[in-house]
Amino acid sequence: MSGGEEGRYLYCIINSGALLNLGSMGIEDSMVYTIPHEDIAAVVHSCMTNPYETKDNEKAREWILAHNYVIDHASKQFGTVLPFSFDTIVRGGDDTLKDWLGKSCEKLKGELLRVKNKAEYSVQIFCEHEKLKDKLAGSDEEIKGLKEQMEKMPKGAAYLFQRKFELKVKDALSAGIAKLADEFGGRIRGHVEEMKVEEKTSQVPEKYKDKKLIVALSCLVSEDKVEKLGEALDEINKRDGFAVRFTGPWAPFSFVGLKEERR
Amino acid sequence: MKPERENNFVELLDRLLNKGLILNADVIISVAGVPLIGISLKAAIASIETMLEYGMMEAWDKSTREWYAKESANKAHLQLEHADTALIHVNEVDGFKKAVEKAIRIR
Repeated sequence: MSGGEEGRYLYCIINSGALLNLGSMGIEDSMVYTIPHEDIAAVVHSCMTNPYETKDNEKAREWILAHNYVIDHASKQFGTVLPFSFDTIVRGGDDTLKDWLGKSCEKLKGELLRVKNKAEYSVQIFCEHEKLKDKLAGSDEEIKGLKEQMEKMPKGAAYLFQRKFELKVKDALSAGIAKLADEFGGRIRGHVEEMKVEEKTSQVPEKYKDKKLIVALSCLVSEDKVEKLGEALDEINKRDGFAVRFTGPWAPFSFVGLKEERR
Repeated sequence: MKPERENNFVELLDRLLNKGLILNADVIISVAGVPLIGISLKAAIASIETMLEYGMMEAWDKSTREWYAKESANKAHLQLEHADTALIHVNEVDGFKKAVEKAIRIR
């Protein structure tokens, strides 16, 4: 990075007013330190106001890992932090940050309190679609009746009847899945503080490639409830035709407030 | 089951580029994501399924929002004295669906 004006790269907000030097653990081995205000602080490194950008995947990967490393390190030392997105850079020096911390202090403290002793976990539920379809269709009396009826029909009539049959199966599948969603949701909810349905999700490991992802959640979970959540997920994971992927803990990326419309 | 903190770079990427604290400050010169990072890297964050196709998400989303609204209404009520904090909770409830939509829109 060269040129530009003086800036500060932001990693996270911590629940401590300590003035600390955390060492050269930042992006490109930058020296990471805290800018305190009252009993909170921003964890930053000093940089120029050029965003980190690259087309070199390896380099981007190192940056991302370094960003996360600082957040993990701060979380271990100070408890749950408010993590910033990658490449959040403020124009100005320590004083600019102090001003901002001063103005936003109450909100930031409120947010720190909200996530205190909690962490983010990701829950993904997969199913073997065909298995589920067969099972739901097999337990539906109307569908069983239609199937028997169809099997006795002449070929042409059966062909026409096929579409009606398929619609029935689809309806039964939708109803069955809605029921399962309620059941699974009920099992999980009691163990999480907050929960968000992720409509898009990252790629999943090879292990789950032959299964369909039916729901992906980000959950904010209290430290003392993680085990119970794991047990609840175990129950789902044990069900024939289902698999659960449970990852974390992460800093509460999905649950930090003060979000504004991105321009 | 125990949560895995496997070295899942893509999952990390998803969080670091698309989530996290964003400031509403004039001093901000950049935020994560487009177009600041290599295009090939962005492509790694792919939607793998149209979950809507399976209907589960809709059902879940609806019941989750109902539950969430109820839970958070209590929180908001309790914290009315602290207007800022209460506001955050209320916004979270109202913004539940919006947040999901926004998450898609910004990609």
